Amino acid sequence: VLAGIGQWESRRLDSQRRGEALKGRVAAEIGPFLGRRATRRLLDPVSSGGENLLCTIEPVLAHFLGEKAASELVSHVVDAIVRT
Amino acid sequence: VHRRLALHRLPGLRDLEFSRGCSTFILVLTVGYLAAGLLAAAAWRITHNDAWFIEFFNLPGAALLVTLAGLELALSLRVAAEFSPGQWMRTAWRLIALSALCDLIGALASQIFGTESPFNLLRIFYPPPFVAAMTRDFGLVVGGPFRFAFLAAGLFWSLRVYRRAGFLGRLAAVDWAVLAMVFAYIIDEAWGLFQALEAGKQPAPAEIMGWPVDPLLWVLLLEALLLYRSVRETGVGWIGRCWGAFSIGIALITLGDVAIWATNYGYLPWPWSSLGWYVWMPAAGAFAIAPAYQLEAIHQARSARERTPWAAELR
Repeated sequence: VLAGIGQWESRRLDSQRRGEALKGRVAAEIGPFLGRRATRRLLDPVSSGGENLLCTIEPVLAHFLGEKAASELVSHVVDAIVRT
Repeated sequence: VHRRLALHRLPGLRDLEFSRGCSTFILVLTVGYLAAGLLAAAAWRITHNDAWFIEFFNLPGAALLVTLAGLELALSLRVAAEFSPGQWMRTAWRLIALSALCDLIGALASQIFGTESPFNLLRIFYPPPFVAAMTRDFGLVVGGPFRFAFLAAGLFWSLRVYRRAGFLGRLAAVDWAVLAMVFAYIIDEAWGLFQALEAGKQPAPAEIMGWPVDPLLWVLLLEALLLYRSVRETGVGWIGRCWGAFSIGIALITLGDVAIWATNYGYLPWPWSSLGWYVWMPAAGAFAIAPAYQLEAIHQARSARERTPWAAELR
């Protein structure tokens, strides 16, 4: 039972770390556009698995940069995540 | 304006490559002019010859204001074209472009065609003096209340975007104090006007058209402070620089307006009152640099993939 709990705990921490790394990568890409604090606030509700990442950041970027530029930037963000 | 002028389709403005260095150009131009203006002021003080100073504002100063207004118009139209129909920022930038058009018409009428400037080609027709005065008044009205009304409407839409994104800042106590002081100044001015009207003053139509300027400036100051607080709240980014530049431009215009009031009421005697003239150059620079910053941000976003090390593989 203890070994199981340990594995579960380590998987949970791993997923948390991956989530933080993912957010850090995204923040590095969109931070220069929105500003550091706005980016942090925007990425706050993003889950550690990043399932709601794109639907969270794209509308906000589109508001400020236009849909074409936001779509290009989001594609770049996805490339950056896939590469790392 | 957008469809008729189609400035964003000019060959140089079609792609976004030109936006690189646009803000640097505007910054260098404005700072260079300011430095030249200060040299002219120094020459005036040393030689005691007013011509140094007055000719600087009549010729290069006027040319700078017209150039910067033209740049603001072209760049704002280009930015508006980057947003899709229905997007709030498209409305905001179209209204800002209208404001820039009013600024350009106002600058041309009040700085060139309503003066004895050598740039004034209408002088070859020897128009009677009242034509120049009317042109100047027309320029002041279009470049004053009309320009500020469109700008206030444009900034209102941009603030709605900030609010929708959840990035709208809150006014600090010092902002409320500044707004209260400017409000008191407007009330004082309105009271003075009321008394003058009671005493039988007959205002000219151009003067009446200029009455909304100060209330509009108060609205603009409120918007500028909200934008400034929002930009501080988000942390300075490429987008924030654009709206921050608008805040600086509006703050400088308010300062210029207060300098005019202080001069008229004798609080700022000559030659110190002339210092107020310098405010309009950086203000015009700030309004022109704002859309340049926004275009640079859009360009950076659209070329982000090309700038990455693995761009070649993606192609």
